Amino acid sequence: MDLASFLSSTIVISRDLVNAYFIIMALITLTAIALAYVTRFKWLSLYVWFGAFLIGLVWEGALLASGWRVYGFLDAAEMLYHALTEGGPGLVITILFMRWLGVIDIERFRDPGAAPSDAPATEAVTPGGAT
Amino acid sequence: MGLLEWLLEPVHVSRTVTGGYLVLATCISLAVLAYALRTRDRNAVRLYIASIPIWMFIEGLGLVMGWRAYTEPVWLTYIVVAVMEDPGWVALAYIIGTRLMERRSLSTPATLM
Repeated sequence: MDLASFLSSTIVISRDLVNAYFIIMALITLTAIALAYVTRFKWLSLYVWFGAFLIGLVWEGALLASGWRVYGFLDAAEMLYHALTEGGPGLVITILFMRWLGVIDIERFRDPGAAPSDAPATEAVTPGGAT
Repeated sequence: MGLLEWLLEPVHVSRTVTGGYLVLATCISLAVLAYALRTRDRNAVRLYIASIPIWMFIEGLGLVMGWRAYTEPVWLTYIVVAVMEDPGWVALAYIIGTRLMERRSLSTPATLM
């Protein structure tokens, strides 16, 4: 296959699940919210969730509008549900898990007024975002 | 239809793309990684790298269990989705969220709850 053929070749990426998947995503969403509150990173979680939602809307919306995306029912509603429950909660859980493992340091994004964690002291977010 | 029947009702989601889409997704993800490296956003870079095994597992599990299906080229699609696309979105969403949060800190730190 040459490059031109590859670039124009059709690739189908599909997912076959059951409706219980939507319930599971809702439970994961609730778990992410609870973790964000318990770990005192609810504002960081809200903002990265918004970032994931934005990406989901723009990217999935473009796929849907171009006809490349097929959902099970009520395309726009399902797209919104996916944008809300797929990207954000997983990202929040990933970030908090990575923090727990010590892979990333997000102490400067801890909720204002929250007590310092047992992690090494780091500087808080200061005006200008300077560290 | 009862609740159990509804819960077990199959739902199919798919996207039909081209090889060019895989190239585009790869370029976007590499641009996100390059931006994170250039701005020395250590967390974003580490999230990108740490997401790779996570998404390789999730996508791989889906392929093995039959929940996920790709048409040929399967391995290339798997590599692009698990190593490039999804980690790229993770890093990009983190960058967007933290940049917005830092902007809020600039203007109205007192209003953050």
